[in-house]
Amino acid sequence: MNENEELELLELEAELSALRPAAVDAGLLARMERGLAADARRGRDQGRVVQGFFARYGQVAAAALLVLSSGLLFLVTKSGGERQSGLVTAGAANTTATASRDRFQRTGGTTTVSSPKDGGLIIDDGRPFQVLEYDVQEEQQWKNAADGSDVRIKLPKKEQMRIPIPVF
Amino acid sequence: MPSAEIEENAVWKDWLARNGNRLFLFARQQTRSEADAHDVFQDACLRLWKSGITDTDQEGNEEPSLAAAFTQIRRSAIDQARKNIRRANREQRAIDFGEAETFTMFEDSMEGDERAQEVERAIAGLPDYYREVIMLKIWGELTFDQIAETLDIPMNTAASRYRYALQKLRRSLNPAKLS
Repeated sequence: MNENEELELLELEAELSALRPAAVDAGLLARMERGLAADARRGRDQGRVVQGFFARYGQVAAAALLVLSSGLLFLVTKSGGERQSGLVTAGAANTTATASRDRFQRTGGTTTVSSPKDGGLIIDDGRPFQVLEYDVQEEQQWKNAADGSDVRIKLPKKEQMRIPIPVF
Repeated sequence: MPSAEIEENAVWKDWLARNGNRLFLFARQQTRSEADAHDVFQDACLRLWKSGITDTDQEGNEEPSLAAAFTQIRRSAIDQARKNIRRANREQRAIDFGEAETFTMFEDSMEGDERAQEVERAIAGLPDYYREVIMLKIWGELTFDQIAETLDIPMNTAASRYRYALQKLRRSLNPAKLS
């Protein structure tokens, strides 16, 4: 694209920016404002209902709710049967893993950049940029001094860099 | 009404007054009729209000996020289109895939500015995927990064669509000059 065409596009951009979008129907805006205010009121009233309940019945209500929720939790756990107990075991296993993971010490990490390639030219906010695309691989290592085991995590990702092109 | 709520309502009112026109322009472009655009615009603003996503302006004040508003409009328009299809299926009638209702995009066209009307026709003649990028970039004042997120496309695609859209507009507005 030659300089003239580039200039014409810039002129066109300026011409478009000068156009004013048609005004929204005032009735619609008024309805929206009423709708948003009503929604806010609804949210506030719901908050008030909960607050009022606790203010009126105080600690007795809180205790009753606690007993009720404990009972529900018990029923859900029991009705879940084997599947539920599987979940509990998985939870316990996770807890153990967390505990032993605490003993892992980070021993190193590397970041490798490779395969750079030309991502073409783009225009952002009217300024030209050259795009450089490349692969990045991050690798982190941890070692557990207690049993000698180690963990390595590799995180491959694609990144791009935008290099501004000077315009004279 | 509590003072925090009054303040929040005032922020929204001011934000809608400043951005309502450009948001509605996008809503209108994303839908097939004025009525659908009204529904989509209202629904998107309500969703944004509930999400509480905000941006900080240059003076450090928090206000509803404009980029998030455009994203909500697009989502809401997709939901609206699905709803229309479901309704058509339920009522066992064919969906109208004919021409969408035309609408006036710019204040300037309404005021009889011939060049504005010409530009408006040229924009209306663009494919949807070019028109939406032009609308978000020029009147939405979003960055390519934000456009990419709103339209769920890569940033380079957003940038190249914008470029092609401008070239296409230039060709349709200045055919004599180019030939």
